[in-house]
Amino acid sequence: MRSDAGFPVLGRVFRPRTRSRPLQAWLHDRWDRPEHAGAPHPFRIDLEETATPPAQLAGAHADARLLGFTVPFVIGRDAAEYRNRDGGGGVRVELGDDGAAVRVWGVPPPGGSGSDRFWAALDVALNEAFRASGLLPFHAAVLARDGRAFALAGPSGAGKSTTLLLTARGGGWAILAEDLSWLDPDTLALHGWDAGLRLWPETIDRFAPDLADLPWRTDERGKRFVPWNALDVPLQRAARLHGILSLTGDAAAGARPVRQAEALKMLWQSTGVPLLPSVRDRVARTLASLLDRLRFDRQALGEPFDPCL
Amino acid sequence: MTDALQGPFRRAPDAIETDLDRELIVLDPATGEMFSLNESGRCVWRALPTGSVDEAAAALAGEFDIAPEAARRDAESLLRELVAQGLVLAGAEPDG
Repeated sequence: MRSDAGFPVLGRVFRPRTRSRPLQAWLHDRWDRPEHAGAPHPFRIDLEETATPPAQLAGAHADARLLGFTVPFVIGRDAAEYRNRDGGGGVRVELGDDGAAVRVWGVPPPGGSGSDRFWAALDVALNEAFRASGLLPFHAAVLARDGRAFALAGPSGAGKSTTLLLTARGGGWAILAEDLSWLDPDTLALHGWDAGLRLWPETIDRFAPDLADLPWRTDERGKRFVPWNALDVPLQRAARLHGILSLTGDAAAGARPVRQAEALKMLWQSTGVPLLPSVRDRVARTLASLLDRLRFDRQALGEPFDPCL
Repeated sequence: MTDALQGPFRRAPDAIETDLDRELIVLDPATGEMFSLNESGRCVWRALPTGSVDEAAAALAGEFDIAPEAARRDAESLLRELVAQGLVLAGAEPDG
């Protein structure tokens, strides 16, 4: 972490206050991107580690789904909370007019009991806070050329990462993100957030055998993490989002125009659904406004990537 | 034989609506499924919560120039589909 006073994330001041080394390391890994400091923005996000949990939040129950985990949250008015059912460990996010407060307690050691759900819950809470600031998390593989970004949308396993790798290695395109970027819907600026590419071992064996024997670390789902600098491909950290292509195995589908409802589904699929009703309403309005500002098309799996948008 | 559809009817609390020019899209965040409503579907959706199929049919008949029987048929068909999709909840709201 660069400073106890916090650091800017796309202009928003993010101020974590914690003595937990695992939490500091996680926050640095997930959020500290000096290249995306951005122009100042009035929204502030405070994260505080507390010794004792706050009084339990009252409200409806809702599950957040992330990376194969289901994380149970309680949803209050402009607040959401996760508590480890086995005692100890929890996360609460509370939204205000010009900022968000995230509280964490009982930070579990990495790999400890309840650890996976805790970190997933913290990810959900911080995403909610940054969404409330007006940004949108954008889960898609993104290629850029001439300052324009094109996102490949689709469910996990659709072939996004493989298409990204083959296209970038084929020349003419730079990689902006493999999975996560953050979109400023006002400017359409898309900021790549990944530190590398995650590939299934069989994808590496088949499409990038030169990388197969290197000691990449494996993530919780069995994908290998290959840092950008090992790939020898051009990178671009930010570009203006121009279009979204839905990756499809049906080659004939490419000829059919994308209906508005389908385009909206591509947007929800890429940005995810917020937990809090007020954030959901805001995101729903934002996505509707993006329909006329972005181009939508399909990309057939295995076909050369050459969007005519 | 189809079971009678019993009200009252209300929108599922998690359903997210997006109003586009020609259609209203309702998303079920639990499944990621989206449901597209045309103008009459939008009319019934906007009328929710309603106490009965008849109330939804009255909203439809008031908005469009259709006979009461046709409005009731359309309203019941639409509510039945929305209930099956989980986007509309039927029956009294549980206490608490």
